[in-house]
Amino acid sequence: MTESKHATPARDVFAGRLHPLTLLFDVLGVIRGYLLPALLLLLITRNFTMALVLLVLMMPSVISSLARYLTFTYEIEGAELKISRGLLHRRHRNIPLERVHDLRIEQTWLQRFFKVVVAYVETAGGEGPEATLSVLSAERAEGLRAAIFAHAPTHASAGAASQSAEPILLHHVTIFHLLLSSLSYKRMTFALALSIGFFGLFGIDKILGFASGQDIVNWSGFLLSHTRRMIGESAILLVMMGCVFFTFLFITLAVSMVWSATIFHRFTLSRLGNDLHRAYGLLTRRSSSLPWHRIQILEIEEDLIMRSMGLATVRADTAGSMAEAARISGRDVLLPVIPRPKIPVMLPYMLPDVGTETIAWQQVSTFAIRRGTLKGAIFLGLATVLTLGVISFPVGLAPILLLPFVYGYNVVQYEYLAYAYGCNYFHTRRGWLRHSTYLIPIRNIQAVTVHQGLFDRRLGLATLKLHTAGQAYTGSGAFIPNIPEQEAYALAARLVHHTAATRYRW
Amino acid sequence: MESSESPNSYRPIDRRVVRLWHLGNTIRVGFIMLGLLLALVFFGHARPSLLLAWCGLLVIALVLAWWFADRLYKSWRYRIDNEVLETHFGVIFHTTQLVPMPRMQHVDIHRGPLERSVGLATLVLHTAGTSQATILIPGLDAEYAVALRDYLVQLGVSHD
Repeated sequence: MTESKHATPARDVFAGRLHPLTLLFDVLGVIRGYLLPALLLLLITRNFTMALVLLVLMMPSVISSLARYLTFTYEIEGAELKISRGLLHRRHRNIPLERVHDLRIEQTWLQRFFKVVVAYVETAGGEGPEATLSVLSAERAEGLRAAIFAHAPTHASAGAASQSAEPILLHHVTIFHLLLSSLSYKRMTFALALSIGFFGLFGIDKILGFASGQDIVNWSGFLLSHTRRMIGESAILLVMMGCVFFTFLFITLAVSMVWSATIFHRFTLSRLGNDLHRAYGLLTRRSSSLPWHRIQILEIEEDLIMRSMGLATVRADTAGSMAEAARISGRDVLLPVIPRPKIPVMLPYMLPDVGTETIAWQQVSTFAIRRGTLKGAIFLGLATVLTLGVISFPVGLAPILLLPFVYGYNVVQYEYLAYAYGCNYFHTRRGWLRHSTYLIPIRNIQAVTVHQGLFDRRLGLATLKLHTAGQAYTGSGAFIPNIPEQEAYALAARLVHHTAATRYRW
Repeated sequence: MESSESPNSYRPIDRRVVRLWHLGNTIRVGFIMLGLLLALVFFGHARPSLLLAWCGLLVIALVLAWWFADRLYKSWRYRIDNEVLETHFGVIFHTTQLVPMPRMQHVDIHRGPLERSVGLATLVLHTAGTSQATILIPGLDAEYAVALRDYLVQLGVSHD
């Protein structure tokens, strides 16, 4: 009897209101929204009356926040999470607990100081969080998470485990690996976009301290003018371009490292019952639970740089994954970086039964090389014709000289492109510089498509595409081009019949 | 409904849909060619030789648009058995879509004004997958589409 009392979370967890600090954080949010326009107005007009006008404009938002705090209630009744809010227009939302995929918790540095968090209730609906509880005390949010998962039938084991066992730490990402992963192609591209945005916002001339290439020559003074005399103008231009390139590269690398170390600071992946629990972040601390049966597709990504260091990134999609803003918060990755040899050990913790699978990789048709080279040759031929119209004969032939590289690219792609049909999972891999391996639980397949273009039909090839719910974080998901036509149709038929014989769980 | 659907038999869509596609393609070609004509006039290139070329292009585009609609109709077929719904279509790019029936979420019937005028409907089968995993069967007789929807829903319920 005593045990059963302990097994049920305290009654006040099931019903409650927002934390009183909601008002403070809402007001801070409103101020943040108005701060930049207010400062700009003050700088331009130097008129405090305008700032007062802005203060008046802020009032409706503040009143709305007050109304939200006073009227917002949540409770778990039966198998539903009920959320009500609104003063004049009262809104009620009932969320079946079995549909809740995750109670994602985020905590900024200021919220950490006050020990409060923002909780997002996630379901399979792809329109963002089903409900946002901003803000709750950290303790209450954890209690709510345990209560939701204890009551949801599909989380029964997790709920029980959450009260009876401590989470098992599966992986902890070290700062060294995080810094190494910041060299990856995706992170560098992302950092490059951030750097460009930064330069664009403040002006590259202001940041680098010069207005044009000519300014460098002027500022470098005596030494540079002597060098110019010695090696000529064009060499100086090359040196300048090199300097700008390496400065930009250095800044991008620094941004990438700082971003990786900040977002994924103290990243841990642990397992609690059937849930995978992620916690990470320096300034904003984030934590989320992902029941493993909700993983629709899993991707192991290794770009050339990461591969050379023996590292990989793991991504997973659930139904309703939203690409928007996920990347900046690091929500798109299940593991930002992990040593490659550790992945086979980790996979059974992420996907049940995957450890028992025998993977026999099946390569695609060798016509894949011919198809790719043929397409490349046509493109390069057209490019050569266009180039010859602008540039004279020998130089104008440059595009067609790239044909051996196109052939080489297709050979390398062909060698890695493969699929494997397991008992419970379908595996695919593809890529050239960046290798991607996909694992798709067959029970999660929603549809299968076979696609044939003109080149495919001529060479008797087809592309097989597997559709699952939510493919926001794993890109275009699992598709395998260049499978022999008959094999592709037979594979598609086998897959759908296999899927039809399994039960899909949200 | 069930008796008329024997496994492994592919069904064509209704021939009347070609009329709709002819009309739709003609309107699309008309808009594009009108835009081209306005551009010629606006930029002062409305010379007799160019206008003649425009007329030639219009004829070629219309012939191609009608030919495309005919070929698309001939390429369209679908098949339903207890486990799988399968569609085939495409003129230049051939596509085959297969949906396991237990993955069906809901079925819609769409009837635009033109479809209503010729007594046709489009059946839309939704799964939990991305938008590409939504199956459309156009050119179904309206009454048949309703019967097919009811049959599919019944089939979906039996799988639950």
